[in-house]
Amino acid sequence: MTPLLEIRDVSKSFDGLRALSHVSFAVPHGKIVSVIGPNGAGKTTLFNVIAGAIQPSSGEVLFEGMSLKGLGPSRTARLGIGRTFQIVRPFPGLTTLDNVAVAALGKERTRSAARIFAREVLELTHLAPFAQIEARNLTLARRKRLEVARAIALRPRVILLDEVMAGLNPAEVDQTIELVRTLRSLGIAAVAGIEHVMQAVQKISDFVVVLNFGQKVVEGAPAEVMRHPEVVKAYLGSRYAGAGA
Amino acid sequence: MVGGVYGLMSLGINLVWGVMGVVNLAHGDFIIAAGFLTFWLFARYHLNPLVALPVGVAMGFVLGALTQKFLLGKVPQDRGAVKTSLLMTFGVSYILINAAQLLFGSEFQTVMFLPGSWHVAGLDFAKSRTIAFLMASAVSLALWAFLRFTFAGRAIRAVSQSVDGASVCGIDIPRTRIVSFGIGSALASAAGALLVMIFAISPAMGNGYTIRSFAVTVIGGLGSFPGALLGAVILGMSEVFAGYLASAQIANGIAFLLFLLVLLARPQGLFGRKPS
Amino acid sequence: MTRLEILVAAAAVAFVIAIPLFGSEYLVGFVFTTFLFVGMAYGWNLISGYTAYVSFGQVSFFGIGAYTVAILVTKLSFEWPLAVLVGAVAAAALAVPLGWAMLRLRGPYFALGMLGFVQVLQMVASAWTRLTNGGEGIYLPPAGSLRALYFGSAFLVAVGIAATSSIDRSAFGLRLRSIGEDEIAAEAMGVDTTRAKLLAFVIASAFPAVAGGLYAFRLSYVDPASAFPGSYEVQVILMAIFGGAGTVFGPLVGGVLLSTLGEALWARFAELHLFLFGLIIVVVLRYMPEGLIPRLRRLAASAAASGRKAAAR
Repeated sequence: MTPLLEIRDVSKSFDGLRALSHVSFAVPHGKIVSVIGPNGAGKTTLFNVIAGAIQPSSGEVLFEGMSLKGLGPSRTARLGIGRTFQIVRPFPGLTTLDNVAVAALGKERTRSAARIFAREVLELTHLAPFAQIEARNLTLARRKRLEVARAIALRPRVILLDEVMAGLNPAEVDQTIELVRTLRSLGIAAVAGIEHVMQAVQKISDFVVVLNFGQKVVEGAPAEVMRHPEVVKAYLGSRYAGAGA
Repeated sequence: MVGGVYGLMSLGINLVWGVMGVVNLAHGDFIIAAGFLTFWLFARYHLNPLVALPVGVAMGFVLGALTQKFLLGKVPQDRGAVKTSLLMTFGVSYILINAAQLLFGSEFQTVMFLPGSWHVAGLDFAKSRTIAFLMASAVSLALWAFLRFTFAGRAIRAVSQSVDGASVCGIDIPRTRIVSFGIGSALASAAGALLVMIFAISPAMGNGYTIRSFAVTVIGGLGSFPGALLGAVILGMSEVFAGYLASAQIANGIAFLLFLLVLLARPQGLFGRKPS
Repeated sequence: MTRLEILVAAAAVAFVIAIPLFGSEYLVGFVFTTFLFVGMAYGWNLISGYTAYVSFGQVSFFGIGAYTVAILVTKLSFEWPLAVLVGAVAAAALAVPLGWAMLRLRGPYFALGMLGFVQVLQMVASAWTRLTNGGEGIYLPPAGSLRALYFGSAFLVAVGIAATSSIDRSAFGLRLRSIGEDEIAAEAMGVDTTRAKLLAFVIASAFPAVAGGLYAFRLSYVDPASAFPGSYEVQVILMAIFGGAGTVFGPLVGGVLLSTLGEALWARFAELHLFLFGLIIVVVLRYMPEGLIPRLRRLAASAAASGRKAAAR
C-alpha cells in the first residue's frame, strides 16, 4: 500500500552547507514517526522541505503518491499536511478561537462555520476556556497546544510536529503526549521532530528515524534505535557507544 | 562622477538598514535638507560649501540621533515594529520637507561654487563634480576607517551581526543604535551638501532621492560597501544614458525601474546577503 | 442590526442630506473634501490596515482616476458619473499586474516600491503629452452642481463603510488579518496569501480612483502635480492610523477629526500644515500606535473590568 508520506532521497544545501543528505523514509497512514537527532541534525530543515517552505536541492517528497515538487506551504497545507513551528507562531492579535478558525477556513466556507469547527477543535485540545483570549496572552505551553490545534483544524492527513515538547515541564510533556495520542485516534499521522525529550519518544512512536549531520543514521522500533551504538555516539559521544544499554 | 555621491547616499542606507533593519523613508529628505542648509550658508554668508560640509553633517547626525532616541528607539519590537517605524520615518520625512520649505523656500536652488572644468589628458572634468567625487570618496574612506578601527565602529558592526552577542559583550545597544542612525543621516547630509554643488535641488525632490538611495543599495546588495559603490556607478550611468536616449524625465524613473527589476529578479543584488 | 445602530445610521443619513440643503457652499465643499479623504482612508485601510502591507502609493490610483475622468470627459464627452466609474475600473485593472509584482516584495520593499511607482506615474503623465497634455494639464468643463459631486463623495464613504464592514466580518477579512499578523504562519495554515492580498489591493485601488475623479471635477483642472499630490497620501494614512487601522469606523472617525483639525489649522498656519501633519503622525505612532478606536475600546474594557472588581468588593 502506498505510504502516506514518502521522503525520497532528499538533499538540501544552503550556499555549500549540506543540511540534508540523501534522506529517505516513509510514513504509513495513521502512524507516528519520531525523527530524532542532536541540535543541528537537520530536523527543522527536513520539516520545511516537507511542508513546502523550501525546495529540496535534490530528491522529492511524495504525498499519497503525488510529488510535492514546486508546491508552496499554503498548497501543501490545503492538500493535507499540517505543521507546527519550533518557535511558535501564533497570530498574536487574534483570539485563540480565531487562530484556529483561520486554519479551518481551508475546508469551511464561512467565518461562522469555521468558528464552529474551531470550537470543537479547542474542546478536543483542552483550550476551550481560552477561546476569547488573545493568543499573545497565552503561556508557552498553551501556545504550543494552540499550534497543534491549528494544525488539526486543517483536517490534515499528517501533522509535522517540530519540537512540540521543547521547553515544557514534565507535567506539560505528559499532556502533550496525550495530545499526540489523540491524533492517532483521529486517524492523523504525525512526524515528530524531537531533540532530547527521550521518554516521550518511547511513549508515542510507532517507529523512529535518527538524523545526524543531515544524514539518516538508522531507523526502526524505538527500543532498538535507542540502543544503537551510532545513536548513543551521536548524543553522548564515542566514550559511551560501546557501553551497551 | 555623480556616482560617487550616490555611493555616499547608499552607504547611509546600508548602515541604517543593515545594522538596524530600519528602512528610513526620510533619507532623501535628509539629503535635501542638508543641501539646502549648505546653499543657505553659501548664499547668506558666502561660506565655502566644503567648509559648510561638516556643518551639514553635524546637523544630520544630531537630527538622526534624536529621531532614533525619541522616536524609533521607542517602538516596541514586536511584529508591528516594521510597519510602525516605516510610518514614523514617513512622518519625519514630511516634517523635514516642510521645515526645509519654510526655511529655504520651495524654489530650485544650487550652489555655483566652482564653475568650469579642468582639462586633463584630453578629457573634461567639471570642477565641481570632481571635487564632489573626491570629497565623497574621502568621506567613504573615513567611514570605512571608523568602522574598522574605532570602538564605536566595531560596536556597530557587532550589533549588525548579532544583537544578542553584542549585548552579552557589554555593548550598549540603544546607544549604538542612536549613533548608527545618526551616522546614517550624517552620511545622507554629506551627500546632500555635495549634491547641491552639482545639481539644482528643490524640497519636493526628497522622495526621488530616497528611492535612488535605496535603488543603489539594492542593486549593489545590502550589507556590501563595494556593492554600494558599484551600484552607484551603475545607477549614475544609467541615468545619464537614459537622459541622452529618451528624455530627462525618464531618467528620474530609472532608479525606480532598476530597483524593482533587481528586487524581483535577484533580491540580494550583486554582492549582498539575502534580505531577512 | 440593533435598534441603536439603525437609529445612528438614520441620523447619519439625515445629517448628510441636511448639509447641502441648509449649509453654506463653503460647508458643502468642506464636507465634500472630508468625504473624499475618508473614502481614500477606507481604501488604504483595506490593504494596509488589515494585511499590514504599508502602501505609500494610493495617490497613484487617485491620479489615474483624475486623469481618466479628465480624458473621458474632454475627449469623449462622457458624463461625469460614468467617467468616475470607468476611472475606478481603470485603477483596478492597473492594480492587478501592479499588485502581483509589488506584493511579492516584503514589508519595507513594498513600501518603497509603491512610493516609487507614484513618481513613475507622475513622469508618465508629464511625458505622454498626446494623451495628457503633459505639464499644461487638462481643463474640464465645470461640474454643474456641487451638490451632485457631494452626493458622489457621500456615496463613496457609504461604500467604504459597507465594504469594510462586510469584509471585516467575513472569511476573507479573517484571512487578511492573519496575513497581517504573521504571513508565514498564515501560509502554513493554508491561506492563499497571494490571492487574498491581491484582491484586497485591487479593491483598495478603487477608492482613491473615485476620489480622484470627483476631485478632478471639483478643481476643473488636472495636471501631473495636482493629480498626484504627495500631501494627500500623508493625510490619508494619518487619518486611517489615527482612527484605527484595521477597524471598520477608524477611517471615518480619523478622517472627520483630522479634516476638521486641518481646516482649523490651515486657516491659521497655512505653511506649517504639512509639518504639523508629519508631527502628528509621529506623535500618534509613538503614543497611540493602534489608533483611537482600539485605544478607546481598551479603556472601556479596563474600566468595565475595574468596575466589576469594585462592585465585587
